[in-house]
Amino acid sequence: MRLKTKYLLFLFLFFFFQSKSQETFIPKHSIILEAGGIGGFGSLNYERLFISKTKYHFSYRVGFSFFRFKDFERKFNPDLLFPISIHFIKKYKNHSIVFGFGQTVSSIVKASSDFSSKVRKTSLNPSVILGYRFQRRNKPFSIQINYTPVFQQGERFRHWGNLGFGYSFFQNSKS
Amino acid sequence: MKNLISISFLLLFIFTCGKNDVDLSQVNNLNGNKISAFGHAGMGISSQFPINSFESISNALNLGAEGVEIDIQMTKDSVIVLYHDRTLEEQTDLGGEIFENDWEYIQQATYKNPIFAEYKIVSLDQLFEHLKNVKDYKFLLDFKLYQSDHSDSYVATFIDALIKVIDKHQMEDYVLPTVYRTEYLLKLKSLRPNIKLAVSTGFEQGLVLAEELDAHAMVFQNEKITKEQIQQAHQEGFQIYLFGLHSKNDNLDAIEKHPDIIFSDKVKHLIKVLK
Repeated sequence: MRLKTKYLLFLFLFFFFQSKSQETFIPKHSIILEAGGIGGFGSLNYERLFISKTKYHFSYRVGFSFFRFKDFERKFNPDLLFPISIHFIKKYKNHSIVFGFGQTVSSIVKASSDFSSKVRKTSLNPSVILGYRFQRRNKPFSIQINYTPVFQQGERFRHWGNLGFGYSFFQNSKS
Repeated sequence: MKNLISISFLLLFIFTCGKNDVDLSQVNNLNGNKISAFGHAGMGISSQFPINSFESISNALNLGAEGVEIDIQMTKDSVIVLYHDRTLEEQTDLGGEIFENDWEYIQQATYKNPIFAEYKIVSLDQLFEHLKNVKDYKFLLDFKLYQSDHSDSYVATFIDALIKVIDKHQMEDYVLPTVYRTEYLLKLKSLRPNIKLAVSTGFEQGLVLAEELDAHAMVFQNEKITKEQIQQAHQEGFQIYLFGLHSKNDNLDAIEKHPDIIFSDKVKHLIKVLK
């Protein structure tokens, strides 16, 4: 091998490995399965980072949950929940602290106030999110635990919480 | 070979899952030799619906229950309402006790569980008024008496309020009142002798009381009565209703004793097994 070729190969390998060692994978999109939380007894959520820095991220999350499929007359008439939230995620290596605000749109079938008929009531239920998240660097799986008190229909305060399991789809970025 | 054993175990597991070994052909009771499935306060304590709520009761009946046990209390202004606990704060967002508050206040209460839903306390009048096909079902009315006043005038007011609702909806043949305090049953019997009463006390004492009141049935916690005692009560002419059933195994255990009615928290399972 000529010296020039050797030199070029050396340069290539040097920069290749150097850039590889500084490469960071940002968990840009995640799917999160939650037990409890602002989605009621459980929900399936999609989370996307919309601001992503080395030490912190901002994300939004949208979800979907069934409360039950049949109403109290045993007709197919599902109770639906749509949790949406926005988060600030402060990163410490594999650990993160999460602060956020959420709103759950609930659409529940119940008896009318005088019990004479069946009605579907849609309401907004704001919530606060305070949580911890563990995700190894460049690994797709995460686990998260959150305290998510809810103001039911903006009136009644309820302590609430959740346990979430996430799977992330990475976006390759260099720092 | 290993695979064969694994597959055999898997098939055995699949075929034994959900199998309920009950022989209903041997049932011998005073209910036409069949056991009726009732919901405990509607769908039971482990349901997503609050117990005694309109939604819980309607759900149990639409599921196939022949009736429900419901807990009744009287408000300060003599309205009979469905509610189990002593205080409102135990299950709702309001405070106080049923007997010391008026209906206007109590009907503002919202059950705390489940989250996001908004279920309300229902009165007996509203239940009978709005429940579809109400006369297809039976209602065991379990009196919850948390007030200290059991004077003649209080008992008379309570029974009058109850009779008023029963008469309004012509439900005399569809209610089965039960209470551990004899004075309420005596008063009811004196005013409406045709109403079927169910006594709720210990077995020996219950037999005497049931005889004295010419009662229709005796109510027991499943774990506190044997199959032999149930047979004895049947021989004396009294039906037996069992409650305190929180699991599928409890249901199966109760069925083995051949009672007339079972009130279960696992009402869906009970209906399926007794079908």
